[in-house]
Amino acid sequence: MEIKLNKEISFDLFKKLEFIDKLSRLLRLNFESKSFGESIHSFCIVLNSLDPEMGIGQDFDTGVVIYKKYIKSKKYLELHFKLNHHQIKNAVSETGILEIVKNGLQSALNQINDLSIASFDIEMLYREFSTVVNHYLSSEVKTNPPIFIYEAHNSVEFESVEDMDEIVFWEIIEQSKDERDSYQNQIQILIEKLCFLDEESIIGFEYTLRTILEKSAHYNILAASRIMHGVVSNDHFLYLRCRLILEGKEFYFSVIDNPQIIVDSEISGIEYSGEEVLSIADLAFIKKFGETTDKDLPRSIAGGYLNYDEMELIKGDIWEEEELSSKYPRLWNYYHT
Amino acid sequence: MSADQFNAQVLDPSFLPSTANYSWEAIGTLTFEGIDQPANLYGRVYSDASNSGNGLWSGALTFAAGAVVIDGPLPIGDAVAAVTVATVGAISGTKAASDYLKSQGVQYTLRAKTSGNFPVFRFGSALPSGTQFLNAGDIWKIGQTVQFNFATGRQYRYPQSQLDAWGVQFVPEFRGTRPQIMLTEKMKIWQYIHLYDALPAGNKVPW
Repeated sequence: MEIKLNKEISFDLFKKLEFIDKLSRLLRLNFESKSFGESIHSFCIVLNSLDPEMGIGQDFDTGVVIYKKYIKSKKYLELHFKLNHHQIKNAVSETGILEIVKNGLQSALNQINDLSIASFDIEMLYREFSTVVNHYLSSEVKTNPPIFIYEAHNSVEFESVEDMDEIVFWEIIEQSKDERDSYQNQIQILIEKLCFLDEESIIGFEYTLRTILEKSAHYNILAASRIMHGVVSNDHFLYLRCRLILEGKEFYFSVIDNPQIIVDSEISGIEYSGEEVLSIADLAFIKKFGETTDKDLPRSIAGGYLNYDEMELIKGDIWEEEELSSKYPRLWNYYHT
Repeated sequence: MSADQFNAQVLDPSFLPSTANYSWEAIGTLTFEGIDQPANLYGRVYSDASNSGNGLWSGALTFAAGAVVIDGPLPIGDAVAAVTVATVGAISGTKAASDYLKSQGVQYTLRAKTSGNFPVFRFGSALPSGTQFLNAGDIWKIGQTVQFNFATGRQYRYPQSQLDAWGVQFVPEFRGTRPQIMLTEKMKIWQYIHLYDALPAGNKVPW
């Protein structure tokens, strides 16, 4: 079995839990030749411990499962559970922290029955996990994990992608636009609409969304973003393009050619981040099939096809900062006078 | 001050302006002591043109220097001193816009899980332009998201498999409304550029 031990923690615990990566390596080495049932070939554990100030102001008990996902086709299990922030913060040694982790895992493993995993020996896995943890604590030599080397993955060939016809995609967007009374309401409408589609169509929506998003990776939109925000980051640029999609096909392609029409749209105000568009397909999928579905989520499937967070070819003509006011005078004057 | 106290202050109706003209203002001016002052930060600032009193959101955001630096640990040491963001403006004449602005998110960093060679993405390139060595804990990307479940403290901006492929972990650093996390993200990228004369390896969009 392949096992990974990850962390999702606030920065105050960053140094304190750095050793978890060493333990993760040891676990990986010890587990790779072992099997805990035919249903699981890969197990990803995520330890979550955030400063309560970052959340709802209350700490969680150790072992509370906040996310669990079993993907039958991949024989993959992902389990996120809480470590009580106060306990971790007050733990004075690795031994103390790992006791909390072990207790948390034991409790979390008891909460995955509803995933209906046919063949998975939970008790044996926990015993082995404890053995490795004890070995780690008793070992004098705790080597650092090997140097990480990024490996670029190959994108899925376009021909193999079952995307949604763009006409259908835009029809769904237009309908939601007509029915909306606000931007956020439109997101909910889109989720509801996708729920009526079959599994392939929801995934197809995600593929098409990525294809269409790529079309606005254009210097004109970058200029608009720069003029509107003053400065641009990866996320700003991406979220603005998501927002443009919600205004419909005609506007979307027009704005790529002439970003100055933004001043006549609702986006000209403050609602220029459409980040929620990125999770529409996933949320619709979960709503349709339930949180415990053993199907892979659309974003995870489509990520290998077009990854908007990684590589994008930019289109259009590059500009210099000094040219912005003359090249896009209407937009410039709207935001800078 | 806690994040909640901070937000409560920002959303306090007593900050509402007495007049309501539809106008532009610079919503933020950052002053880095000992560092070149960056350009003004512009944002759309408008209010209830009808004067109907429906302006639901307004704010005079004043980030104390410490609040930003403490909440967002950056490798800035003691070199960077005061950061003051004075944001003055009345925003929104509609409830929808108000809801939009009040929705909460986090400014985050993606940090190296272990030391190693991480991809460097460059704008307009279909392939990473190379790799950069980062030590465990170093910043790979600075961003902001509202795809964060505050009830559980879990992000859903990135699939775990994507974070694993990049070799990074998601670290939420500052909680706030959309304008707040946007400003915080900008300040941190500015600080990063000032220190390293480059964008973080995972931030590909030219600054």
